[in-house]
Amino acid sequence: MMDVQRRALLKVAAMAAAGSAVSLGNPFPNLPVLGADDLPETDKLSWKKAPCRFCGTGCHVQVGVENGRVVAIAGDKAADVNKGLLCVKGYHVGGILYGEDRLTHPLLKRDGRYVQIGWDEAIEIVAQRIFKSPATFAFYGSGQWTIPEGYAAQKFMKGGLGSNHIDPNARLCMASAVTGFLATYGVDEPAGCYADLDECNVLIAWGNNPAEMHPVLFSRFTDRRARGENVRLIDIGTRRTRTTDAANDYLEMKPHGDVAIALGIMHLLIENGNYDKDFVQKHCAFRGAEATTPTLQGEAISESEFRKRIAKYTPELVEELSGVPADQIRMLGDLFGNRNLRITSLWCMGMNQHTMGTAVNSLVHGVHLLSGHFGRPGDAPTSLTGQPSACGTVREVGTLVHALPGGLLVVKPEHRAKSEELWNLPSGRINPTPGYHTLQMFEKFCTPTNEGGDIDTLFVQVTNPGQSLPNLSKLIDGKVGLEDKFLIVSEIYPTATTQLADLILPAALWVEKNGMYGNSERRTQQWFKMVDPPGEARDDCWMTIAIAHRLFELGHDGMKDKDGNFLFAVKDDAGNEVPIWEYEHYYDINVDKHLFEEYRKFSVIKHKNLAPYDEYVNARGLRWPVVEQPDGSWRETMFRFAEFDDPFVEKGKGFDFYHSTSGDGRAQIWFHDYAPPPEVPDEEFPMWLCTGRVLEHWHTGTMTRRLSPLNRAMPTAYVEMNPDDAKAANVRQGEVVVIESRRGSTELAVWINGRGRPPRGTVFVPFFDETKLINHCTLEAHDPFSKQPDYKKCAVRVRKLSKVTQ
Amino acid sequence: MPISGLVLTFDDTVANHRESMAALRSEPAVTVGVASGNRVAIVVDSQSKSHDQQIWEALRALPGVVSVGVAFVGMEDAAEQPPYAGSHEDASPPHEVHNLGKK
Repeated sequence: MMDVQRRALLKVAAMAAAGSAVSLGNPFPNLPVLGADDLPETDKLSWKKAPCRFCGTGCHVQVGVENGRVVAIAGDKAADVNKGLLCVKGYHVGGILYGEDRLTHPLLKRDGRYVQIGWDEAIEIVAQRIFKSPATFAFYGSGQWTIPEGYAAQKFMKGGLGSNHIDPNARLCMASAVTGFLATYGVDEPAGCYADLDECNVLIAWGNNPAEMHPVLFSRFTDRRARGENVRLIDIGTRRTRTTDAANDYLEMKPHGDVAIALGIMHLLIENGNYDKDFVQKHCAFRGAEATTPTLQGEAISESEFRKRIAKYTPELVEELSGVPADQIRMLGDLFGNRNLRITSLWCMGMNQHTMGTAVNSLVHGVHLLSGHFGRPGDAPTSLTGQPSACGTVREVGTLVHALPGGLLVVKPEHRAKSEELWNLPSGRINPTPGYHTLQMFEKFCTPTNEGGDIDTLFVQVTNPGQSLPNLSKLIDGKVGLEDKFLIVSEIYPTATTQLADLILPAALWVEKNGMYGNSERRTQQWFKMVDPPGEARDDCWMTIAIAHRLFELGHDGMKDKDGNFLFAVKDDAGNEVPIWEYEHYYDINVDKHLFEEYRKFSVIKHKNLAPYDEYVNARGLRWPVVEQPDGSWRETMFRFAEFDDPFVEKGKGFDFYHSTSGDGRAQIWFHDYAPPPEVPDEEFPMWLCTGRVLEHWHTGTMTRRLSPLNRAMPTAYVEMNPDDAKAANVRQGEVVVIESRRGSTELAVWINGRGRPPRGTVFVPFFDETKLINHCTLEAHDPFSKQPDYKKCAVRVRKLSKVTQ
Repeated sequence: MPISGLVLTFDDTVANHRESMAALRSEPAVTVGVASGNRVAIVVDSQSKSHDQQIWEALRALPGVVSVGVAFVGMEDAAEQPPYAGSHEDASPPHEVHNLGKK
């Protein structure tokens, strides 16, 4: 039980937080205003800052620690991202550390059962498997890796093993956003930032439900209405959601309709002659896909050719393709044609988990560029991320099969040479061939070796592919019975993935270790370890370094730099090497700081400049590029490519897309033809299935399912059905049905007129519930450039369970 | 058990919701703080998880309450429950029974 004094202190803090939200004239009606200075600090209770562990928004919390345990969480009013507000998940984030089934010891599967082993044995097992066959080893991580963790994994694989078989689960959530940015600007990540939400007149949610998935960001917009501002929300979606409830306009589209809608807006801008001719002439070029073997670079086309291609996408054709009435397409065209407005587009999984993901991302960028709704605060095409460091770790550190840190590419000789120089490696160490992306990696792992399955050892850190991959029957269940395949999983709790593991490594979580994240608006954030992990749980970064050192001891040449030193050698101020591969010495020195200082040398190559580690210690994050000023201070950048804020745009130019793929400082306005989805409903499987998330649970629910307030609020997955579909199927509220696709099935209770309301012919199922794996039904068809699968549309049938079992 | 700092938002000024405010004040687990306009700050100090849940539901059901905002949460001492009987004693795959597509 809490002692009396602590309860009294917490009650004071709770009332201070709630009271200040009510009485201080806070512009955010539901926001508490609370910072470390407001919180009761005693010799027992102390507070430190950290970014929230959950989504890509990057809210900051104040973490209250007493006697080595997190006892309270408060919103951090000093944080620009959330200004003191947290969503329901954020307020319960401290509880994720204390689930009673935390994994606390390494577990090795022997004779079908798990037995506890020591860390030395665990590291030896992993190192020996890699030493025996480094080429058949793969590393799978996520946007939940901290920046130093991802950097260590990246260096271990590409700089150490000379292998590019490293990919993250971010492949499943934002890879198409990356390729969209690269195709358009030649460099990844949004030009704008969250301040656009404070400045726009019109916010368009493209297949996006920020009211539930990014509630803090959404409140930045909706609270402006509460203050009397005239702001308009347009929700373009395939089902009604809580975002729809707040929207001025709801445009219900067919799956893949977003591609047609973007084309239709561009058609109207050209047709009506109200596109921004000056901006386009000075700063844009036109691009189309090559007729054969399309690439991300495409080929230049003239404006007249663009006009010719876009001409057929009349509002009437777009209505036919998208289901959105022609007058609403014209409404969008008129909005974008009005330069007096400021328009921000937001998107996330809806446009990314899409077999035309790269295309639709590029087209929406093109709508903003063609209309000139770009580069002013409030005028921005902005993708959001789902994980806390999808940007910082995956996109910036480059933990993808084709990438090197700082936006460099393995296929470019000069990029490999630069990386080898920064890592002090012998020339030629880095492999020029991209490795297996996520879907290939798991397919190879789940295929018998003698049938071409040439990945036999797979190390999974900080993610749960056993639940999150599409078509689980093929990409996960295929591992069962393959005796020569060895799955290593570093985890905090038992999951669908650990159930298949041969070796389970217990991991430290969030404030049980030092860390750095990078959020959706290019903001790099830092925190310090506050409490010890339970039992024998240890840092993921330490695991990677310990395995690397054991390989070094075994004589693997890749674990040495060109001077023969250990790849991850760290020296103290006296010049003595610190044995950070021994866990008892891991915190003798700040390993995160050492790795980050090494990594940030890469960041200047493509204008993603990062500040020294110590600058992040006192900040609530800084948005890159962060550039040193004459007075020695470090200035962050809110708006890229625009002269008024981006330090890399020469004065007088107005805008400069300095990594332009056309080499002339111009952004690319792409044309892509509409194409239908890879699988559409038919007689046998007559309904669309869309999958996604809910407010209470974060992704596969590994953490939030262990928080009793959240789990009570949303205890199980369900299937949303349209009332008319339910009636036609003779299904009542709460009745269990079987959802079946060509790949698999699962059983779910029906929710009619619930939180989300799909149109006739569509069902929606959230994927957080490990007991109802909807990803048995989804398909692995993916975008040709991003390799991101489409979880938002496939064909299913719905049958009453009683009928199926008869 | 949980201590929460909450902000209740009414559909109009707090003064017009005397019955709801009286109900709040009569609940021993609730401490009513400052009120301004249509919002009032409260602290909930509940005895158990189930009690906490009951109070939350009662707050949401109070006449005139349109939203319950959370400003602060003091955590519980009790360990959180696992969501399902996930165990590594039995190494069988967890989801074969749902996999009708493998037939």
